[in-house]
Amino acid sequence: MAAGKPVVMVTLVSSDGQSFQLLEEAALLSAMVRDTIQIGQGRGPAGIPIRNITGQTLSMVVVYCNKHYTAAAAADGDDAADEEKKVANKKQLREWDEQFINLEQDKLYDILVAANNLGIDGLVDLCCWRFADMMKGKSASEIRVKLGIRDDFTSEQRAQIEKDSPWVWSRTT
Amino acid sequence: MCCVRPSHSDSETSSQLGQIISPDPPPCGKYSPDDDDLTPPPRPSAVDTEGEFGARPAKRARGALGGDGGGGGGGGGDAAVGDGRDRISDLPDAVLLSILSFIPFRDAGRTAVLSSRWRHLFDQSLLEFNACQPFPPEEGRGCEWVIRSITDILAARPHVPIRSFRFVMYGQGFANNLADVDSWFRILARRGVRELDVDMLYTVPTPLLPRSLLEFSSLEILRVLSCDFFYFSWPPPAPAPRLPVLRTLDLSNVCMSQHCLQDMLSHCPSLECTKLKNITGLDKICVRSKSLVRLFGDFGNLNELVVQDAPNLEELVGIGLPLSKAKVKIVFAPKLRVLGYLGKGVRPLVLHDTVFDGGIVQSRTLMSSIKNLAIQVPFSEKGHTIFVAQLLKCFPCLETLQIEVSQQ
Repeated sequence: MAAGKPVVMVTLVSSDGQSFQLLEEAALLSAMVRDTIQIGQGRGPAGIPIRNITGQTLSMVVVYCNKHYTAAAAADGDDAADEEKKVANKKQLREWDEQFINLEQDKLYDILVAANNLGIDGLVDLCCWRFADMMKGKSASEIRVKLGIRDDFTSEQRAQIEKDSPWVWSRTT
Repeated sequence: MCCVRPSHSDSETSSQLGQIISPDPPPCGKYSPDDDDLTPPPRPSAVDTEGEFGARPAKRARGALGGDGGGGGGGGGDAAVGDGRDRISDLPDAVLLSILSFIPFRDAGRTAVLSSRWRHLFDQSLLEFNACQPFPPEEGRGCEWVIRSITDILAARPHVPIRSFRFVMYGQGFANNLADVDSWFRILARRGVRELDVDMLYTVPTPLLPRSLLEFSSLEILRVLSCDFFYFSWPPPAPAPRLPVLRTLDLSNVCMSQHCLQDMLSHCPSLECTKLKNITGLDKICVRSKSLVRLFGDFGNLNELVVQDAPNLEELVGIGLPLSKAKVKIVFAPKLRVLGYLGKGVRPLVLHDTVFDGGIVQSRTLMSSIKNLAIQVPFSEKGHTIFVAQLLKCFPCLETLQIEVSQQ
């Protein structure tokens, strides 16, 4: 079973010209990379240019892809019967994810935007989960402060909203 | 569109910095992005019906953030670290909806008052109404809270489209609120909901489903986990189901009577796919359905499985059959291509007027439609070669034979 498969690397090039080399299979976590390779491009030495994503952000994305690819590959190689180990590995990966995404807001936005553009569903979900976590259990004004959302309603709109759905205002009930 | 043009631009001048490289050599297995840890171990293709049963959340459309001609040029990682910039509101709807999906639904409802950007997102999220009780239970948000919230949302948003409704509870569930749930189902049916998913795995006692479920006329996909069906005994006080467009029926840990199940199978004219797992309250199933194409289940506790009249049935797979004492009788299923799992425990096997009981007792009509057969046999025991050889005589046109070693 082991060995035999050639190691294929791809290069991703950030908007500020930094190159990142990673295993093609790890890069395939990105739907955008998948599409590019599928149409027969991106394997050359020039790599795949990733627009709008800086090297700083892309390096984090690459870390995520490598980690998840390695974890999936390890799980693939394991004996399928060992349920306990599978669950433990999964939990470990989730813990790694949570640690990984514990970032300041600006970085989190950058990664979310990058993951969305690259079509890395798992990473988009992880970022969304982190934002949701920041919003959970908070009142509307607390959320606005936390995330810098500007309240742009006119007083008529506000009255209308209040009439439409009175329960949304109450914090605890 | 995130289409990337490979040549030109800055890529030619790129320096090979190549910092981060995966530490491990590539493994032999193929990488698969899906981690369905809950799916059963690999079975013949027949059981793997991801199309029908893969209960995955809707996929987000890949966003066009900062893409070609996206205008604004925002969203790039190189934007100034903007204090006071409302970056979250720049995210596309699909991403914001994904954020909402991680928030308990009533908290999510509150985001409608954040700003005009957020005003209609919650309503949009109701297209796939995810009514899950927050877990772990939060202070003051028990079952009553969940029930009241859902009732409120349905009342406050009478014109918002809802396509699917997923309902998950813990603790005592809706045992004391059957009337509320009954009225939701009526409302949801009027609003054209196509997909209903009721998951009460962690409620005690197992709740009884309201009768309006049988009149959920817009329903195309029904999944029920750990509920009891309305009437248990025959004759039924309830009328025959009116589910004219139901295509997929997926029941697990459900208690229902034989007639109740058979009624569902035979009175749903569009039903194509049925999956039954751990159904209690019956020991025999007699299938009559003009439309049914695939029937999967464990059938481990059945005494008898009869396919009486199933002109369109193509796949019949019961993973628990070899361990049960079930008699399997296939009377009319001319299109049946895939059949499993048979084993020495399955006897007698009646195929049209062929009765197989270890050796062929009577052999007139053979199952020439079957192309794919799965069997489970213990290889350690003597006599099984003969059993298999005799069994195969019933299937003259077989193309694929799946053999698994049975546990016993």
